[in-house]
Amino acid sequence: MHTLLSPRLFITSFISFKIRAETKRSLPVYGNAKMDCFDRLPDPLIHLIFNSVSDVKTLIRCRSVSKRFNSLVPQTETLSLKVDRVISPESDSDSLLLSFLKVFLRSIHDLLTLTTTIKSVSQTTTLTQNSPAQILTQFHRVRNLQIELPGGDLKLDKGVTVKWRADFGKSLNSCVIIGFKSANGEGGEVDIAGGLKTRVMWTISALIAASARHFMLEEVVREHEEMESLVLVDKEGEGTVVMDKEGMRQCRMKEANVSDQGWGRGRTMVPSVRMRMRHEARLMLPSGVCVEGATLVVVRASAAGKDDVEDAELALGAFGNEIYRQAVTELLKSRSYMLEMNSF
Amino acid sequence: MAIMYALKSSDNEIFEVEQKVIEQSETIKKMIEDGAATGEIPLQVSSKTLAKVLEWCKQRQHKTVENENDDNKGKRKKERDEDDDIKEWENKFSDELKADKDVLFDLLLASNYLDLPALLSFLCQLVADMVAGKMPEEIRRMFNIENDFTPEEEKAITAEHGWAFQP
Repeated sequence: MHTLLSPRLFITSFISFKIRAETKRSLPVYGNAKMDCFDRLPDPLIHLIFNSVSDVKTLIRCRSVSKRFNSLVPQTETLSLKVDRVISPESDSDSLLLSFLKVFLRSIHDLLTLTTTIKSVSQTTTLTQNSPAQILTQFHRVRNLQIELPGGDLKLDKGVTVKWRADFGKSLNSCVIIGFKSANGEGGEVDIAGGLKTRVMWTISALIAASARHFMLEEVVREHEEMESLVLVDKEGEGTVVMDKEGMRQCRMKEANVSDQGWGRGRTMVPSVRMRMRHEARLMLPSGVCVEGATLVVVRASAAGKDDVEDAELALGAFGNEIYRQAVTELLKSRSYMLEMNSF
Repeated sequence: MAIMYALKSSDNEIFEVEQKVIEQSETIKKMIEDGAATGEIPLQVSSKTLAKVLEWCKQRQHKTVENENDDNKGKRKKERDEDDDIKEWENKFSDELKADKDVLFDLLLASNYLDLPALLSFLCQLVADMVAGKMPEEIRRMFNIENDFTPEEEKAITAEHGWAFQP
């Protein structure tokens, strides 16, 4: 009897031993609190997590967490860079961003005699200043990049809202601008005489702000050839510059000496454009908000030659915010005027 | 009658699941389409983690079925309420995972293995949010990551990118 049973017993005990061994081996994974969570993840999953992080400041901190993190962070494809301060022109720093903004601020001032907002920074600061391009050189595979500036560029009267979204290649392709005054704001008088002047000023300020921001981006565009989408926004949600893959390709093809001309101006040249302008003295939005002097301008580089329908589509897609979208929808029902402007 | 499938976890627990629920996993959907899913479907996922996977899939399935049954009338309000419900559910789901990082990382691996893109990106965002704004030492402590830099190496990185280490 014993001799017959023993082989079976042997097998059973062998199996149970094997299972126990496996359980033991998997113990560190499920039971040990000291386990490094990321050790179990393959590189592609860590890339996905870093792409979700996207914030450049956090990612740079991650570089000093461990050697593995340090080697993986520079391969992150989706980045979001918050420029947390714009240095005032009086500062001694020679950062590129500074010189861009310095010239840019002057150019707006000269052209429009508008006073501009300068985010003042304490002069005693000892931090090293970095331009977006300098910071981004450590990333080698950038595909999607968003840069956020700390504030808008336009100095507007109280109660006035101007929002714009511009699409660029080597220079401006198109720009949608919406502006209005809140009806119950202070000084509610509608400025009828200055109406057109105000509307043109809004348009030109937006175009200058857009082309100055585009100019800031050129270095980044040249250095990151795999980029597919580039968006520049500001914290106040005033203006957005977008460049797609084709736009960035064209931008890189631009000859170096042509871009050099921008240095004196601090912005990319605005090409000759056609503008379709719509205006309503008073506009009641479906949400119940009432606005005055509502203006919608769709600007296109003259060479583009798009029709009204395409302009309307562009305008409808320009703003995510519900109020601005409603204002665009309402204004599209109004008569439009065509204006042309020479390159400036 | 809903078609049911039996999933077998790596620790031999059986889960009976509706086809519609489990088909969200591209890996399992392909197995079913190829006719490879007869009897129990063995998965390299622990029962604890598989339960979480199914919790997620059922919630998602529940949502799509309800949307199909909606008529347009009053849909907006209903959608808003539903969005709130889903948010609440997701918050609870996230909180449980944050408290048990072993399950969180198991679930990350499982969502990748089972090809559940929505769950995978939800979890990546969850980990990303946990890391956001933290200092290196906090990140190491949170995930038990060993600092394998020499002090000199670490110093070199922080010195090079000083601005990023300011609070």
